[in-house]
Amino acid sequence: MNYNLLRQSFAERRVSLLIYAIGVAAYGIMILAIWPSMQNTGITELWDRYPESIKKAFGASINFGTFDGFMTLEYFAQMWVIVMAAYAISVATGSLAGEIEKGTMELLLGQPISRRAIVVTRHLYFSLGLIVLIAATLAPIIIGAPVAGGDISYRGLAALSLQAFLFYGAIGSIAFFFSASFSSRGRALFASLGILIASYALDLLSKFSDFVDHFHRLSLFYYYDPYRYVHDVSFAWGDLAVLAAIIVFFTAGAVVWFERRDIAV
Amino acid sequence: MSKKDPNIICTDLTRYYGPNRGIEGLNLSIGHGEIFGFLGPNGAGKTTTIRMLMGMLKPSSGRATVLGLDAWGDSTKIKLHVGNVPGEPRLYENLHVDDLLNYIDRYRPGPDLLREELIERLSLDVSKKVKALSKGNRQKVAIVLAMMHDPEILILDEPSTGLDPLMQQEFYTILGEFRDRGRTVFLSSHILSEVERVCDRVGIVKEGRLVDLRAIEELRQNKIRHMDVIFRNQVDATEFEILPQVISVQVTNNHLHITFRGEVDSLVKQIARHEVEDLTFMQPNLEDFFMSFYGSSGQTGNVPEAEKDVLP
Repeated sequence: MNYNLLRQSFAERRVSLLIYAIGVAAYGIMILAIWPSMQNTGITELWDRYPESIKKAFGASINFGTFDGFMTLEYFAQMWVIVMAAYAISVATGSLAGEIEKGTMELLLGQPISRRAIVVTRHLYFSLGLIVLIAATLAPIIIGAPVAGGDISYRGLAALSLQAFLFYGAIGSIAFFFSASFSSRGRALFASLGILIASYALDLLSKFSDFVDHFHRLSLFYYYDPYRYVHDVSFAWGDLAVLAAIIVFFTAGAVVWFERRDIAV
Repeated sequence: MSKKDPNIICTDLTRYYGPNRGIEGLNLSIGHGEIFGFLGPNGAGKTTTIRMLMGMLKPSSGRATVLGLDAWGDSTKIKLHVGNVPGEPRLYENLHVDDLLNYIDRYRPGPDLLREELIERLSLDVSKKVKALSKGNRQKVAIVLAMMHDPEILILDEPSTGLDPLMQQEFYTILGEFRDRGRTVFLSSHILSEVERVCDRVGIVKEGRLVDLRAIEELRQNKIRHMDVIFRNQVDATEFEILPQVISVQVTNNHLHITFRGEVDSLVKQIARHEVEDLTFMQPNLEDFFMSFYGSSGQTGNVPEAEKDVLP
């Protein structure tokens, strides 16, 4: 790890990190604000009348009438995934492939810093950014839930934080691997998004097809179940271990690949 | 590593990009206190060589060492002592120049001894953002970044690109001072006059191979040059043709176009015997130079045996 590069990474990307943080906090506050008006609108009955296939796609076990169920369906399993995955892929692909494409990697590699230190430091910056975004998401909910009349378990939110950190960390680590492999940010982005979309499609299809369900564990989304954590406060340690293993494997792969490859800007 | 050991050694250094040749079988050794010119046309393999010296590219075969360390495997250690100006320096656009210099400075433990002096001598405005700089000023930033720590070795890829003539002159003076302090400079260029002006020795690379390696003085003496002289009156061309260094004389009224190789003194004295209206002395371009030395193929290599001795 290189402290100088870490400091510079924050300095360079502080505005975009701030925008993401404001975005996730503001969206959470907006959903919080809707909750009081949704409570007595018969939304649960409406949810119950939805076709099974629709409910399956969004999470059949989720109780839409509870605050944590509402937050999960409206935020943690929807928009939050999009924003956090966008952050993970954007930072990861910009950190290595983006710098090679812009040509600034040549300047960086002209300094006495190892390639390993570059990957590890950029990954650390990404991980710290994830923590900032998770905190920015959950802090307004922790503060605002009692005001909005929502009942949520703080332990559940803490459990959700751990799962989210590992899930988005895994997405970012895969993107880091592609970022270390390609000299074009577009290619790294395309490959990372491809994996993510394929993963989502597999997760969705496995809910409708028993055959596809055999392959469900190959989808990253199989290991992301925010309702289980926020509502049941139940840790799926095996799933968390798989996510942690993905992070270690792809980050190590990124280091090894980046150390061996040519950098021709 | 002792002071007698060469600072840069390339041993059969070869790099291919798939089937395409980058550089092939390069053997070189560059000592302390030397400015070495690496001269060749675009696409000759100069940048490939520099990228291997900087640990950006892995050699297909052969080896490069810098300060006795392997350029690929020990790249991080080497860069503590090396300053580099890339061929097309790309900088962090959103930083102010001063912040960029501070940022890069923090990568090395020692002080940036020459920073203020270089900023002043190159007339660089450090308060501007990088994205607001002209091409020439970006080049100055790249030069300050490479040289501010007074590195033992400078590896420069076409460093004077974009600098105005006055700044080029100042830059050459700074390079000379580096050499005088015992530093080593590896200077890649496709500008013959630049190499001639600042280098002690030159390696000429063409189509991926080192075709010649010689002291700059020898290069000066052997290259073909042209002179255009307009006399006030008609002169007899034969009095120039008989001079041993003159290759040809073309006459158009009072205008003589003289092509010669080697010393200029006796030729100038012969010209001075007449009344001269105008005199133009032209530097050959790189293509003329290659034609005069090697023909179009560039195959008539003249790599001294001493350089071949670096082979294992």
